Amino acid sequence: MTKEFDFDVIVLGAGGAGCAAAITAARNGTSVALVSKEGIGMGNTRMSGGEMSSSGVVDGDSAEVLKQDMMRGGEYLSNGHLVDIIARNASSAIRFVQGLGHYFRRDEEGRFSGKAASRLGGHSFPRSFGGLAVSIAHALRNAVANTKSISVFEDTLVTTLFREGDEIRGALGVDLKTSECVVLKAKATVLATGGCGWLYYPQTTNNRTATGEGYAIAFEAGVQLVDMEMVQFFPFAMNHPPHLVGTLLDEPILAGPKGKLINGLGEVIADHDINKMTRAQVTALMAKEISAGRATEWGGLKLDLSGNLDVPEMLEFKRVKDEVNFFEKVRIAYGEKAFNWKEPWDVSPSSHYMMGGVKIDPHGHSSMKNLYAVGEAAGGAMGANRLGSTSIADIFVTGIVAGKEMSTWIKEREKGKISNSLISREIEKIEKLFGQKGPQRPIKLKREFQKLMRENVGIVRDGERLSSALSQIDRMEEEVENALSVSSIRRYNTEFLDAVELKNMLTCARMIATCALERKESRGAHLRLDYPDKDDAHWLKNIIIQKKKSKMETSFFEKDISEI
Amino acid sequence: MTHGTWGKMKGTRQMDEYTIRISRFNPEVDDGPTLKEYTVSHVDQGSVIAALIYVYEEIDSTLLFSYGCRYKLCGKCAIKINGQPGLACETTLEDRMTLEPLDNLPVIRDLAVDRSGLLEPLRKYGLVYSADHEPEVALQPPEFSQLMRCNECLSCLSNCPAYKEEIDYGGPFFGVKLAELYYDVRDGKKQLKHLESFLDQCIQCRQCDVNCPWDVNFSEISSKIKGEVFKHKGVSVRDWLMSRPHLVGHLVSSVSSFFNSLVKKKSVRKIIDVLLRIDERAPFPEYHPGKVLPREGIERTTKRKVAYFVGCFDRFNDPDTAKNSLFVLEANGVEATAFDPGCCGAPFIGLGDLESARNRAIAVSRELRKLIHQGYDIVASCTTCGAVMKYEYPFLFDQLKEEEVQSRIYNLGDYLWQMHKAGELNTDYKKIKRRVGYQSPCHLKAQKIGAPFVDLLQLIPGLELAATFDKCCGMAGTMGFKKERYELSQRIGNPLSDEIRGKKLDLILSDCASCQMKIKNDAKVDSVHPITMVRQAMR
Ligand SMILES: Cc1cc2nc3c(=O)[nH]c(=O)nc-3n(C[C@H](O)[C@H](O)[C@H](O)COP(=O)(O)OP(=O)(O)OC[C@H]3O[C@@H](n4cnc5c(N)ncnc54)[C@H](O)[C@@H]3O)c2cc1C
Ligand code: SF4
Ligand code: SF4
Ligand code: FES
Repeated sequence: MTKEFDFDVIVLGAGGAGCAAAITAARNGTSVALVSKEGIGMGNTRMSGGEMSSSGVVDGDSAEVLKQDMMRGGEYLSNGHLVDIIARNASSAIRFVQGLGHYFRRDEEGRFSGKAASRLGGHSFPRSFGGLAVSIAHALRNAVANTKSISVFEDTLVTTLFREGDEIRGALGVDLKTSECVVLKAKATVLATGGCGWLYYPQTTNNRTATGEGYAIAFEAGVQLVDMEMVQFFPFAMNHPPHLVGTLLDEPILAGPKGKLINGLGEVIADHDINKMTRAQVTALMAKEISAGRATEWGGLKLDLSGNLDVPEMLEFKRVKDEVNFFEKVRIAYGEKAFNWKEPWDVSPSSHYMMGGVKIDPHGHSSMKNLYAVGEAAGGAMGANRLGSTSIADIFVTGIVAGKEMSTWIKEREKGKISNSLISREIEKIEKLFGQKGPQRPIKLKREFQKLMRENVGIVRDGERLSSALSQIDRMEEEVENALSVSSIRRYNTEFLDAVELKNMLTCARMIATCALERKESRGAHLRLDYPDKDDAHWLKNIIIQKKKSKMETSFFEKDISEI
Repeated sequence: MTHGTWGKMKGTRQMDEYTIRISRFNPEVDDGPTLKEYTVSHVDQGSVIAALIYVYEEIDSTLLFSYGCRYKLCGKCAIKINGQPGLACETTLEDRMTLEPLDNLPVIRDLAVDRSGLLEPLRKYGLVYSADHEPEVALQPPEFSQLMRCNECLSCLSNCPAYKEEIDYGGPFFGVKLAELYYDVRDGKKQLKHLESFLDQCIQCRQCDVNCPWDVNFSEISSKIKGEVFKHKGVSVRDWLMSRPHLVGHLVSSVSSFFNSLVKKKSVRKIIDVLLRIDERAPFPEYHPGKVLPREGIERTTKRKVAYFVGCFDRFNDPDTAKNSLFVLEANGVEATAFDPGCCGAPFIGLGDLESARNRAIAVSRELRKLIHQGYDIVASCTTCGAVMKYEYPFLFDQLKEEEVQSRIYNLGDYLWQMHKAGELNTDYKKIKRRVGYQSPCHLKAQKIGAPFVDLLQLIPGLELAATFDKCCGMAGTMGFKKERYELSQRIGNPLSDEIRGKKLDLILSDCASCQMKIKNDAKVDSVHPITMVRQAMR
């Protein structure tokens, strides 16, 4: 049985960006549906470090300096207008989150000062405020629960955007607990589905649900996406034991002024100031060693922190982290000595954040009428590399801005119709999966696909591997169409979920590989062995990708040099 | 049930194959859950979640379980592992583990529970953060940081007997959230009224602390808040008396036989019921005169010196347990003395009278320290007194915080088991042909030392431990006496009584005097402290 609902606004994805958009829109008098394939306040937001950028807390810092840092950190590929909005609104977004009940770390006098902030790699000043991210998630859920005009759809997987003509008029969801379809009609639709780290499982810091579906369903609807080749790999993550592979350790800041990186041959490849480098720089350094065959037995490098044992700020850093048991897994997996920095840690880069995404204007509006994108689902602000703590700022700023904008926008709009034939065609696609027979279990193909991504579309890339990846993606797409077996269970069928996710993950991967093949230089997170240098003369531009007449097409967006 | 805490990942371990049992259940088609066996290989050093992912990938992808972050952040992977709630991602896989969904939450399928119900209580309990501005200066108290650690795994809800039985009780998880608001200096204590009625339902069994992956320890916090509530409220004669078992014991034990026969009369219980609101159906303890004293002239064969903590119940209602404990220790060559500093303060804590409890804690700690200086280990047979000294003293009253002191306070069963492991326990026991059951009291489980007496009892030849129980008896200190809470006490305790009756045993061993009373009264089966069995088995 299909249910149909009508709302002013539907928000797809309920991490930080989705909740902020929903709460803001609802507070401004609109009726909102908040939809997520898991619970409210989940996603990467809930498991993040909870560090959020502010600006101007210490002397000399300002929104302008934050903006410059982000532009430089993004290696000048970022959309300056978006960065501007984020930088100018970061501090007020912190107040928004505080207003929902979250508590950001303060100094020992209880003040919100520079002393309580950390200076993360690539930032000119200490300006990142931490706190426990679960507490952000709880504050969000609580606010959602207590906002009357938000209707909640949990455990509801969004599979399609309904496009009629040149506008989006709603979305189709599947209630995973019953496998019933839900048709959500709306004047405005917001994509807040987060990132796609799970494409690289297990080499990812991300949540199980970060499967990049928002990118894929936007693409299918003909929406423009930008910078899809820019996948950030976080430099310091666990690389063993197997069940902890990929899970996050910390920013370059962890290396402190005196941390060293040592390769598998015992050679020191960096011995100071790693903490001042950006993630992209550290990851590139590591990737070079690893891909040259000089990795440790676990496929990573050794991070030796012992030099920092006489650096007071680093001891303070450790104390703060230990208070919340941040490195507990190091103790468990690598032992007590490693936990106390007396033995090096084995670390590998791990897929962490998608800089690319749905191309938006400064109000969060996409290239398609009535469709907005916020948070990690949107692209463009982070350019070729994101600085630590800017994502949490970004998700709240973009969520709030879009939430406000929409509530004005929808007042002038009539709700468009969605044709019954479109609805039933999409529902049929869903229904057909249940009980489908085939030789391949979805999870098997998913794992094969993830291996392909790690090997061919991962940290270091080259033309040959990317092309080969694209042809394997073709083959896998065919298998998804024709060879998957899915049980007919209606009560939370994960084979069904895997099948839908995999289809979208493949679309997302195709965009990443296509753009990565296109960009013939190395910049930020994008490392081409066959084009190792940065090429400002030709590549100071963004790659836009879009579906046109059922084909994937790329085009370019030249940077306005005056912005830089 | 095994002695000792269950596994957390440590060190490397290799094993080729593990057999695990997983609860499979689809409420749409199955009558109830069934345990299915799976063989899992090549998950060296793996966590339980790794094993589940293995089953899903290699064997059967209709298995439903949930996870998100893969290490302790999202809380989604909590399940029951060998009967205990815990995070599948932080628990080391062991051979023959049994995996089931959390209790007290609707099961979607197999191991996954429906967490979507969380939103409604947030509305219902008015959990709204309502500070109108962010103050310039805001330093949070330590309780706030402690509460903030909660990763919302819901293990505590799964364990909470009051949540299970009381529809109006939000349970520890929502308690954590309410308390977080209460302690948030920015929100300004607005939640106290709310918390008052909320916490009325908490029976302080401490089960919410036992499996909390982040040591949020809600029951400790709730004791503190009860203290705040108590300051604003008066206290009834009954509660005043009940929180002073030592005083009452002194008064009554001098006329014990008269008193005992008096309260056996239905008419008298009726009067007490009306006057004091002590429910006439509740069990009533017997009183005994006299003091527990160690025997003279015992031969010492170990270096161990034990000061046996004589709890109020030991002292006035059940001198046999204390005598038996001292006997067993002494017979094994330990220099034992009775340590009788008065009540540990638990009943005051239950009532929320933290000032009186603090005075007890200070007095007991002073004496206790002296004994430790003299080389004594402190051993308690009463699981409540033990838990209070180990957890409440340091947390609520800043007493006995040092590890050197804490490590010297033992539960009786644990102490004997350690003697056994050191080869210092004479286990040349007589044969006892008997079928018995064992019930694990909440405050023993709260000490996270497993159930040592289960292991000890197995050393007695002929003794058949036919069943172990670990449900709450519902007595909850003094709650089971109270007229207004008798119904809740029964609802919590009935499942245990039913289970015990179903097993057709004639003796249940339990470390807790309240449990014994309740089992005798409700299940109509005799119940004593397990040390009694050990004592009987000695030649
Ligand atoms: C371990 C870790 C630590 C981090 N630490 C920091 C930090 O300290 N500072 C910082 O700035 N950034 C950090 N980040 C990055 C940051 O957390 C994320 O980029 C950000 O939280 C993304 O927020 P979001 O709301 O866009 O998406 P998410 O929070 O990921 O939410 C997306 C939601 O959409 C749902 N969804 C996805 N697809 C669908 C679908 N098809 N249908 C329905 N629902 C769907 C998902 O289930 C999810 O709940 C970290 C990330 C990780 C993984
Ligand atoms: S102490 Fe017991 S009754 Fe109270 S919240 Fe914890 S588990 Fe529930
Ligand atoms: S208090 Fe502990 S057990 Fe309860 S939900 Fe929070 S983390 Fe889990
Ligand atoms: S998987 Fe997130 S807490 Fe276990």
